[in-house]
Amino acid sequence: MEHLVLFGARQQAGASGVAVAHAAEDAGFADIVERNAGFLYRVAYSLLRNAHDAEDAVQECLLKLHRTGGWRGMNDEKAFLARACWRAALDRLPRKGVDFTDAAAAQDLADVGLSPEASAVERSQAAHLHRLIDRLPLELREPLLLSGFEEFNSREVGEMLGIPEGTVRTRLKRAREELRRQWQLSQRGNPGQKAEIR
Amino acid sequence: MKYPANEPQQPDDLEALLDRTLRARSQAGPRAGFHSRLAESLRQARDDEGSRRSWWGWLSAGRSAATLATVVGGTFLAAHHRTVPKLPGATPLAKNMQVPREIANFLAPEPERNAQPQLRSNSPAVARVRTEKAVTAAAETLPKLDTFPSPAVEASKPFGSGDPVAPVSLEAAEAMLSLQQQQARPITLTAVNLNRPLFGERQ
Repeated sequence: MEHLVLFGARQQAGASGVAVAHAAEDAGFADIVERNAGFLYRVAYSLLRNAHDAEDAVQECLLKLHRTGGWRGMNDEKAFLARACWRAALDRLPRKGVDFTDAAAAQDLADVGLSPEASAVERSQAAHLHRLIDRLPLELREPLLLSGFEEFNSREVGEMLGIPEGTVRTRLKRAREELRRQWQLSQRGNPGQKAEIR
Repeated sequence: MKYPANEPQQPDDLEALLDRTLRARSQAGPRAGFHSRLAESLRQARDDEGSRRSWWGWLSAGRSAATLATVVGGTFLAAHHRTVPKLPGATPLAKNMQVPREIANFLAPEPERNAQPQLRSNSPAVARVRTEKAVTAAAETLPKLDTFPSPAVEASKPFGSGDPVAPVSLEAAEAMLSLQQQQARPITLTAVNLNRPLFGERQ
């Protein structure tokens, strides 16, 4: 991982007290960025499914935090930053939905030791499942996507979304049921693809 | 493992596929150079913000200095404003035109030449004291009208009945004496006969 050298210009010897305070503050923010940039990218990417948009969302989120100084009062660093980045990504979410391709699915799915044919089938199924996820209502999609992060449990997801933990679990269950229903409907309309389901 | 086309879908398989999909979705890595681009954008934003902040700082400092200068200058002028004496017979070119003090002192009449200039202040207290002094001075110059009984004005004496005017010369004294004698003599009027024509004798 690249080492972030942010605001190095202010860290000069013999600087005034205010400049030193600014430098220390900037260094603190730089540490936060260095620790969480990749994580924030994953949060944004899970919703946007586009590398450029995800990077822009992370930049926008961090710039806003640095400008407003809202990062100084955070208690749970990861939850706070993830919530801020999630909101920034929501603002960038296209209204017509995410245009997901098989190539993107191929980029996401790691090689799990499948044969080339099985990998192609897996990518096709994953792409279809991504489309179904992106078609879910936002209130079901948000807890479903955030539950995929190992960093978050149901309580933290609820804190991020501003809903109780029980509501998170209920929505997760509803989201999975809705995905299964949509999956089955799509398989009935396309029997050839249904045969590929392992 | 594959299922025949007519076999029902296994829920566990779909759940496993969903878990893999979500995990893959949440583990996507950024493109190469993401951190450097992020650092550069943050550094640039910091610089822009710093320049903007310094610009606003200079602007506010200039505004504060201008305000301070205005207040100090106004206070100084109000405290040291001097009244310039009017030139006798001179008409100023403008209403607010003020002649320099040296010239005014040179051209002023003798009593005013070395007079101390009056200090004028715009403070309300000074204005009130000035107004009270003016009212008191004006009241002292007027006759006192609240005396009771009012002093009687000697208007019943005829002109000339008082002390006679002393004649300025002998001729004037004789003229005045003859005039008094003529006034003391009775006037006799001749009777007028209206039957006799007035113009017959002339014809």
